[in-house]
Amino acid sequence: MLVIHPDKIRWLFWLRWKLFLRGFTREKSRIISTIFMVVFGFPLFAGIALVTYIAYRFLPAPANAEILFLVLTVVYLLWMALPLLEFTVNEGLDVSKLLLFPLTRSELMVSLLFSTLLDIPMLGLILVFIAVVAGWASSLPVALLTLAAVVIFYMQVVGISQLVLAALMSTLQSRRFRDLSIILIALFSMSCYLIQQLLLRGIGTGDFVTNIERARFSLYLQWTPPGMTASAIQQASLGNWGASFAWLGVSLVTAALVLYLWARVLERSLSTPEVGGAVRVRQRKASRAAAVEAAATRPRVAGGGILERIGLTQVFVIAIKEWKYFWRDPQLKAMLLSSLYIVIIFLVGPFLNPGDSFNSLGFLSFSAPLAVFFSVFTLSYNTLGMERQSLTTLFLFPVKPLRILLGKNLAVAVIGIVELLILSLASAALSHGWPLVLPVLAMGLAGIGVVIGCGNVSSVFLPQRMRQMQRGFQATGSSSGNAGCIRGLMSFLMLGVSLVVLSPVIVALFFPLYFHIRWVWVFSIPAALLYGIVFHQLVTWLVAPRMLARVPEILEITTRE
Amino acid sequence: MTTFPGEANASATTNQALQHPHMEASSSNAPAVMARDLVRVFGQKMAVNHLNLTVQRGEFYGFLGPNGAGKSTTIKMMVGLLRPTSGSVWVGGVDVWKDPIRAHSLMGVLPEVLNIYERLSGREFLVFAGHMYGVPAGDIRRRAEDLLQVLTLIDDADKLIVDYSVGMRKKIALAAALIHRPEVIFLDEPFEGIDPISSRVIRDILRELTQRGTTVFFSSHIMEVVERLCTRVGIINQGTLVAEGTLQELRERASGEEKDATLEDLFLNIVGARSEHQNLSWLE
Repeated sequence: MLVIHPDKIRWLFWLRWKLFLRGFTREKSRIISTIFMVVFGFPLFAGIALVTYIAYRFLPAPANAEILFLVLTVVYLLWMALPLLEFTVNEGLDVSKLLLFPLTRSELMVSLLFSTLLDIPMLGLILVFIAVVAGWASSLPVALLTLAAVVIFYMQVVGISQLVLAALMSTLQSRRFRDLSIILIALFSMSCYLIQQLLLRGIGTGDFVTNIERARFSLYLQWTPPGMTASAIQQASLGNWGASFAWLGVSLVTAALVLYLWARVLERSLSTPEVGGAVRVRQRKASRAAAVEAAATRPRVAGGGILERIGLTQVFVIAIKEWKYFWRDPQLKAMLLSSLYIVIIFLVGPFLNPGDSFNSLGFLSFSAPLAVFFSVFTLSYNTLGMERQSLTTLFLFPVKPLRILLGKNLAVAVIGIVELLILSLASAALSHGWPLVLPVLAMGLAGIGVVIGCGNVSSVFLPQRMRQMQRGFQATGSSSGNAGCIRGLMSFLMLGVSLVVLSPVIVALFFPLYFHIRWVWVFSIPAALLYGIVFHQLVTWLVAPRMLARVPEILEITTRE
Repeated sequence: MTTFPGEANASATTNQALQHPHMEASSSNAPAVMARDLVRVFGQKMAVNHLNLTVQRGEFYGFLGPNGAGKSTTIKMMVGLLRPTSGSVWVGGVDVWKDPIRAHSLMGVLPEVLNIYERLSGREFLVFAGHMYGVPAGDIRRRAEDLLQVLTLIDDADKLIVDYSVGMRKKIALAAALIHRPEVIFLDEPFEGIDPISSRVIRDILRELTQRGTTVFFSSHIMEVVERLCTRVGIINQGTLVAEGTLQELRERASGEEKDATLEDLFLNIVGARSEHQNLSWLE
């Protein structure tokens, strides 16, 4: 039975509105991201709307209809996927929080439908829909039918996204999905450059329009929900009103079916009890005695090998912990992937821009150390902030600060060295610049030392808070730091400082190459290597005691939520 | 002297202890914990107001106070996580703010908010903590297994901590705080969110530790637990230590009919809490 209390709907919409507004007042960074979204996102959607409008209007039939099929299908698929990725940041879509109250499923559904109007991406979607109506409104009847089809399609889009959400609610709340989505979002963001390059290449070939004219997506897509809407509009524009109304009817039935399924799934989620785990009862008195004895007996026993005595065990253990975190923590894995992405772009870039002289020795010389420089900088400039809340635990251990820094440096250095090896060898293979491999490797190593040394300085004196990442595009602005513009600028400044400090290494590599006096490398390369090592050791040795003295201040910045 | 099975004999261990960087024992006569004129100001608010406190070795010291009284702030200053505006803290005779590394080697900490490495498994975290405390590699594994057994975490030892329940997280954090056999254990609300079985296990471990000379300094809201476990109690209110002593001493200081009062009655009286009767007649 359809029971809807308008008062409840009003208050549910009020709740959604409050959450929407509070998102901006509680998180100032969200205001900035929203401004960015309005400044860049709105023109993007407006651009898409304009381009599709032109395509609907001016492309010859059936190419314009093929575009319509494609656009509606992409919208449908996006709206199925995006709410999944934004689940944790959009409280308005989380029905589980409303389950405590006596709300009927109809009330929940209507409130969720209204909630979607407060999603910023929905404004962009409305622009795309306006373009559809405007593009196909060749006469008043066609315009009215297109409007009706678009409204039904809107219900379908909202319905399917909510259906997916409701059906996968338990999966969405699981830690594994949360982790996976953070990585997927990062990969998606990173792949934008490659996608953009490929798209531009596809459009720029001149065959794009011809291909679209020849394409027959509609043959397959017409049986999908977005295809039904597109078919209704296409048939109306051709004057086939019977077929048009038939498709519109099918579309309406599909929308009703989606809404019905959503209601059923929602009802099931309302009535399914939570499954709790049983408490295991065990009595292990003997073990307890052993553990208590382990904890209470003094004096402690020293031992172990030479590594333990000089504290290298702690350095290695910290490095191993870092590697495990880079692999297991989705936020750090996303950072690691972005650093690898830099390397990949350097490798793939020349193929995307074949006009560039990537065969030159300069490419080899520049690309490997430069890519590694950016990659290592990403991983090292906020090494303490990257610990997030766990930094408290690390600082409670009686570990010398020098060992903490060295452990973290070792972890990043190994990653940098592996990247350097891969990139140098790959670049050499591409450009046949094998004679330059050794100098470039040596310079890369020196550069890693310098960059990590600079990273230790910025980590201790300019630590940044790295918020526990949530899913969703709004939370992916910065995976390595989240401490406002000033600190962002300071880290940018640190990047410049690192480049300045790195300049002797750069000069030692390129000066002999540029002036064709390569024999100078015999002296300049060992000197640069020595410079890198000494710089790192000196800086780290000077910074470590300051880290110990600044523990409360560092914690205040990095662990505040 | 009690030793572990398989450990070297006492004289050998003493020699090795002299060479180990973290083997410096505390000054034997010094109190386990001593705070002098401890002050912490946040803006206009004085969270901790000239707090003086001494806890002797082997004591089970309960630190009580209403929400916002300054308990966690005090503990954070005692363990070296929050710099005092003024004043000093010594743990085992070591100034926490002058020699933090040595002080940390003497203490184990279970903070109120658990900031442990969630992406390590329980077993990995214990091994990591053991290395960080400088425990010899050979002992770490055995101690970790013992602690996992006794805290009933052995079946979940290879699960990531991020997948642990609140109670399991508390237990693994406690295990990490114990793995180096600290002289003093600081526990901030250790029984919050813990089921009765785990609570019992933790209580028994803590009691046995104090019997072996370890000092326990803990804050809790659960008066029954404090009453049952603590040898001495300190009550803080609005940043000031307003009462301190054994339960008997607190009763003796109380007036008239409160001579047989429970700790809860004494606490409510000392912090000046009043039972406010709201008009909830509409519930009837």
